[in-house]
Order: sequence, then structure tokens, then C-alpha cells
Amino acid sequence: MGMFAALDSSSSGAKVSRIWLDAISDNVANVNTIRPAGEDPFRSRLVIAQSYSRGDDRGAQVAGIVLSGGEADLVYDPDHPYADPKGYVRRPRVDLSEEMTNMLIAQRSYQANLSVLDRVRDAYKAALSIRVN
Amino acid sequence: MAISPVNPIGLGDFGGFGGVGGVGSISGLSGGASVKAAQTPTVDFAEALGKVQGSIDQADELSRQLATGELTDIHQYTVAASKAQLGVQLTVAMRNQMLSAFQEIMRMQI
Repeated sequence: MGMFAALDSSSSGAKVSRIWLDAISDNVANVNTIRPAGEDPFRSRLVIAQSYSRGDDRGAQVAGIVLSGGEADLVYDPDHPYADPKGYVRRPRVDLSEEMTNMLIAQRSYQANLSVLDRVRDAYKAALSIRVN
Repeated sequence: MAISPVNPIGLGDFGGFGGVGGVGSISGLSGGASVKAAQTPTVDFAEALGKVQGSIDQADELSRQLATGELTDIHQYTVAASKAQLGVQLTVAMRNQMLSAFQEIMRMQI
């Protein structure tokens, strides 16, 4: 819809931020998920955003969700049920401080999009209240 | 994000407004231009009404989805409701203007 293009753009940005927040909450929920030493660890999800343009409609969308790479820590915990014969288990590949920082950014990004939305609505309302006579 | 620049509106852009500006077309009562000028706003208004009804229906559907838990994005509903509200307000504003224009003409002395 061409008339409320700004509302659609802000809405798409808010949606990307919402999906990012969903991914962060999943990552933080699994910050203590232990796997056996021989298995792949739990890997945090990273949301990739990209811009789109369909005719007059422009905004942001999620291009995909990738799992973080790198090695996860092996920790010595012989009492754990998943411990291998040497007593090691695999910690998840999640950096809690990084997730908390991303959470702040994602939350502020969501709020920023909704602020733009509010201002645009106020602007349209101001235009409607112009007196013509 | 590339945003195309807004083109300045020249006076010439208002030329195609149903030929209201032409004095000759108003003086000739049976002229085709004056009939067209009378019909165009109502046809456009009916089209706009249909679009506003569509945005109200969309907001209704989203409110149903929100109530039943199908909607994942809460802001989708509020944005749709905003659109519907603005659309109705714009329609009412247009209706008031058209009605006052009509009454102005009806008050004209013959």
C-alpha cells in the first residue's frame, strides 16, 4: 500500500527485531545445555537482516538464521551423566555477555521502529486536522 | 536504503483535474468536460471507500488472530488498526469537504 509506506517499513523493522529477540531468548535459555564431549555443542543462533524493496514497499527482512562457529569448551565434570571415560563434557557455544549486549540492541531497535511508527501516525493525524475554509 | 527523491510539483501537474479550471467548459452546460468533472470525485470516493473497508477487514482479521493466539507479531495488529483508523478519518474528512462544497453550490442564487 503506497499511502502508508512508512508504517509498513517500520513494521518490517520491528518484525526483524522481534525475531532477533526470539533467537536471543533461545540462546540464553540454552546457556547451560551440556552435550557429550563427542557431540556437536549447542550453538547460538545469529539472525541475518537484509533490506528489501518491492515496488514502493521498502524495509528490512530476515535473510536467514545461522549457527555460531568455533570450538566449544570441554570442561571436567566426571559426575555429569554425559561425561566421557576421561570425565569431560561439552559446554554450549553461547557467550552470555554477548547475548545480553545483543539483547539491549535488539530491544532498542524494536522500540526505535515503534517510535518512528508513532511519529508517522502523529504526522498523518496532524495533516488530517488541517482546516480548509 | 536508496530512497528516490521527491519530484517537485509544478503547476502544470494540476492541469488534468477534470478540466474544472477551463472557464469555457463551465459556461457550456452540455459540454462533456463539465459532466466528467461532476462524476470523477464520486467514482474516486467509492474506490477509496472500498479500500478503507479492506483495511478495516484486515484489522478485524488480525484482531481475531491476536485473540486466538495465531498472531506472532503484536505490532502487526496495532499497525493495521492505525491504518484503518487513519483511513476512516481521511474518508470522513473528504466527505465533509465534498458535502460542504455541494452545499456551497446549492446556496448559489440563480
